Amino acid sequence: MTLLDVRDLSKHFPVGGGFFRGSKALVRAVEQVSFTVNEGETLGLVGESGCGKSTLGRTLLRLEEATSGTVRFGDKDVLKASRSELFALRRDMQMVFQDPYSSLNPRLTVGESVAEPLEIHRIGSRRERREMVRELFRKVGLRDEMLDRFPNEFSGGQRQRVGLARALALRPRLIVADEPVSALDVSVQAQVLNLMAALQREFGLTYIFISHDLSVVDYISDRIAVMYLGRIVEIGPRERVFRQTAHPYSRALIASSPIPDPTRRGESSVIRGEIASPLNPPSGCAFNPRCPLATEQCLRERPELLPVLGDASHQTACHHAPR
Amino acid sequence: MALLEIKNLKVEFDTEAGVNHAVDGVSLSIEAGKTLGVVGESGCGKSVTAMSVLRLIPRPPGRIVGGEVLWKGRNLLAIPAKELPDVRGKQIAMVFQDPMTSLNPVYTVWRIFGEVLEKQFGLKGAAARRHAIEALTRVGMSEPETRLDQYPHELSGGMKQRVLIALALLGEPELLIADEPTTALDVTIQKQILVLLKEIQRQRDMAIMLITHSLGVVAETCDDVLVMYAGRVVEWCAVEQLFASPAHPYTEGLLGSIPRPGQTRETPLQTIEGTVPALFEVPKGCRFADRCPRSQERCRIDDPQLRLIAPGHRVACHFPLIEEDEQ
Repeated sequence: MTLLDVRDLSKHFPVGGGFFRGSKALVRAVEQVSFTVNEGETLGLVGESGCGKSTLGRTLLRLEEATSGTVRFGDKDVLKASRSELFALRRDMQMVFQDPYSSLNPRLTVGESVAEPLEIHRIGSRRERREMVRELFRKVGLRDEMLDRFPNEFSGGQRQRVGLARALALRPRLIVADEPVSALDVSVQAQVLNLMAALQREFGLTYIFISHDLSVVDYISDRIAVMYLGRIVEIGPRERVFRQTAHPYSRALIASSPIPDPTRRGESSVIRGEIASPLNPPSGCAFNPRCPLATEQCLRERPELLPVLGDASHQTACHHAPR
Repeated sequence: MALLEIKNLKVEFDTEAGVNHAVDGVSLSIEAGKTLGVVGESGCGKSVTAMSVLRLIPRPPGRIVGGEVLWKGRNLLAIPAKELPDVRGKQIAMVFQDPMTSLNPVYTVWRIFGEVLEKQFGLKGAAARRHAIEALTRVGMSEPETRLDQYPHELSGGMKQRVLIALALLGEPELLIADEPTTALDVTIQKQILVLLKEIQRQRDMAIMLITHSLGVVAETCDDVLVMYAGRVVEWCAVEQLFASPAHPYTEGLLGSIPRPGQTRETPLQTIEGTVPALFEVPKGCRFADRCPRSQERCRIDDPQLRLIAPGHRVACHFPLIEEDEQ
């Protein structure tokens, strides 16, 4: 069942200029993005810095106001929701950030931070909330006695567990996790990934997992969306995107990701150039200056996101993809 | 003779909580033209080891309390400070993780190059500028002449790292120490930078000491690899040996915690229980014993020393995962 349905979502930021001069230019951080997420699945959102993946995540939860488009969560229109409707929706849609340290109030104990959403939504008495927080701590693998400590006493991995407990407090259906393991050492990263997978099974959670790390996204996701300069260039089931890759940019990303296997060294090639400025994206296909397949058509015409080999579950925006 | 050989290096830091034994008896060596990877998690001492080579440990709070850093047989820890500039930046150069903090934001790229070229090589004016343009061209910088007149904030992360590499290469060093040189970069740019470093290495027969937390980067670029844990070397071998037959339980744990291509979340990743010990007191036995699935009583009493268990394969463990060669 579709839980989240995103249609033509755009988010533009004015930059430069000043109060009296008006804005000079527009950064099209997210441009005409459409996709759906099914209940209980993980959609991995990958791309390099500046591709718009974080802005997309924040816009879905209305931490940023969209410029245009629609976001339907179940039967509710997220972007048109009033303040009170949005307040109710936030119980169902939560966010986990890269560095939980900067998202936790340093003056509150971690127990108080986890209880805060419950308080705001007036759930339970003080004593009941305390019990719920204890339960949440157990679920994320933190000991009871840590409840009354402050965030600075925690390691990065423990803070991410607190971040997850806080996000889970309201029993949401959807969690948007923005680079949740990127700041962690690999052994701790593995612990948090295992925990997220276990919580998903237990609570039937739906995840949008934003990351620049392809090996992590490949591991945790059911489906994957690849973004480049504000647009989705490929989306589909993970094994299709990884093993029958349709977009040259996805191929470049996969080829550039280091493989922990020295016997496969030298298999991959380098992609030239750097991502263009979102202030001044190339005409036609935004990837054309770096693309080994670029033809005259790619400079002129922007490719639409269309099915690969007639299968609507796997789509790509490339003139050269097999249809 | 090895180009660089570190013997039993010990570095301490004074902290509010006491003396931190950040590096406690590290030994390694690098041959000319080879790449040694130094891998380990935050706080294992890999960057401190790298900085000690050129005596860049801030003092206070840090100090090198023991060991030798032999550069072509000469102990850099013992030479007079006034002789250091002959080595630093000329014979041994360094590149750091964050290009933004390593480049002065109020100087143009040209001014940064100009200072180094004048101070270290006595080059000025048009000759210096020509030299800087050549240096930028060699590291694959697009439009080098335009870049020269830009400020660091006008450059992308990848371009800044190219500037730093170009600066590091000015003295034609025989050893480049690169501390997480690609960690702040996107993967496609990381790949470009790693390929560039290998190309320069081949052209000049330059040795590279690559400090990284990424086993993927190690697998793709290194000849030999050193795994560090809590201020110690736990394993040291050829990169193929490490991935095919890791000997230390910590190495095995690290390798198991990276998702493999095709592995899904139905198969939990291997984890290493517990956390890295604080380095304030030197434990009696093995530092990894509390987290080790193979630990026995001996591990808590007897500190394992790095020893050779197969040709070119060293491990500091009483109960390694591979059998000792009959020799």
